[in-house]
Amino acid sequence: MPAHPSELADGSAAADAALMARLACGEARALEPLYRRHRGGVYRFALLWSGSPATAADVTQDVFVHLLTRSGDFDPAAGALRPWLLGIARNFVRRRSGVREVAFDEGDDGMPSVPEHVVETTPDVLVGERQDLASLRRAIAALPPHYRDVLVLVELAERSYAEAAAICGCELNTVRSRLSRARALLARWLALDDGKPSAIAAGSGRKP
Amino acid sequence: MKSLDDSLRELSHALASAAPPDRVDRGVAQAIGRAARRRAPADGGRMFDRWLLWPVALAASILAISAIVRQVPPSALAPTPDPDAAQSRAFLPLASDEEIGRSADAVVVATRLPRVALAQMGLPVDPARADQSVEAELLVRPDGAVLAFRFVN
Repeated sequence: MPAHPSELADGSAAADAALMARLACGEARALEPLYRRHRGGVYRFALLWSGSPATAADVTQDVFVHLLTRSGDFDPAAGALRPWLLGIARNFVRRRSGVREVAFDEGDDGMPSVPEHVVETTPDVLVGERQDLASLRRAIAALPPHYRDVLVLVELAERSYAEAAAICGCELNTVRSRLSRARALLARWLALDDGKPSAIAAGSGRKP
Repeated sequence: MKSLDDSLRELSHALASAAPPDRVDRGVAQAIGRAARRRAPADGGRMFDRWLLWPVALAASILAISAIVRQVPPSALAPTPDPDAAQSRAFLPLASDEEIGRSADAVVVATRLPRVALAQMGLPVDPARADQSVEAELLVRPDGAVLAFRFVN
């Protein structure tokens, strides 16, 4: 997902860390620039994950209000702020969606079909959104949660495999296999060419 | 057949400018405002405590020393050589080494003391100059106890 101009990631890690340190010291106003810089990324992640603009808005607010009291948990030495925020957003969006963290059997996805209730209750985010993109978004929101995590993080939120593994609390190979299955499901549901091996998954660019 | 990668790329592009609605901006701004207001009185209290602690502790120490010295009869202050000769840059302990060793949070405070206060510390005092004061540095514990003393100049 391209970065919004106000969310430039390069060179901002130090500024993020400094702002988080000020926030941890009780300077609440330090959250304002952090919110401006990261709100879009957090919102889009929650939107793609939940398929619901209302849920995404609530999750975005939850994440940043959470920062007011838990900013001390952030360790800049352990990684950048954005993936850390997405990890928090993942927890909140799962909670709001009633998804519990459970151990999944990686080999038993059963190729589920798109649940009708998701399709029916998911409003279009963008006025005039193309039908094929609306269908793709609905299909993503209907993926099993553990597949949805890695697909949204890696393919749409531009996180590396390592970052996705850290956010999801799983192994790198698990991220690869879940991504492969997620792509296969989407391709099947939407009658798209999965393009295996994926140009991204095959190692091009920064993903792995 | 259209590729999944193309579709994902298009979706990324389409949502690139998606942002949370205004109600989220307002909600976060209100939360920041509430947190800042909660923080303000607490800050003020801490600042007050921090800046008030040392002057109060120092004043209490000087008053205590002065009160003790006033109890000492003038005859006890024997005529002696000029105390300036005895002045040293070294700290003179007023408490046990163990107590000083336990007081890692003690700080050095610059002050002026009446010369008569020197008598309480076992230093010679010239009665003719007893009404004058000397510049000194005190090693003071947060509770106001003076642990050590040294002359300045």
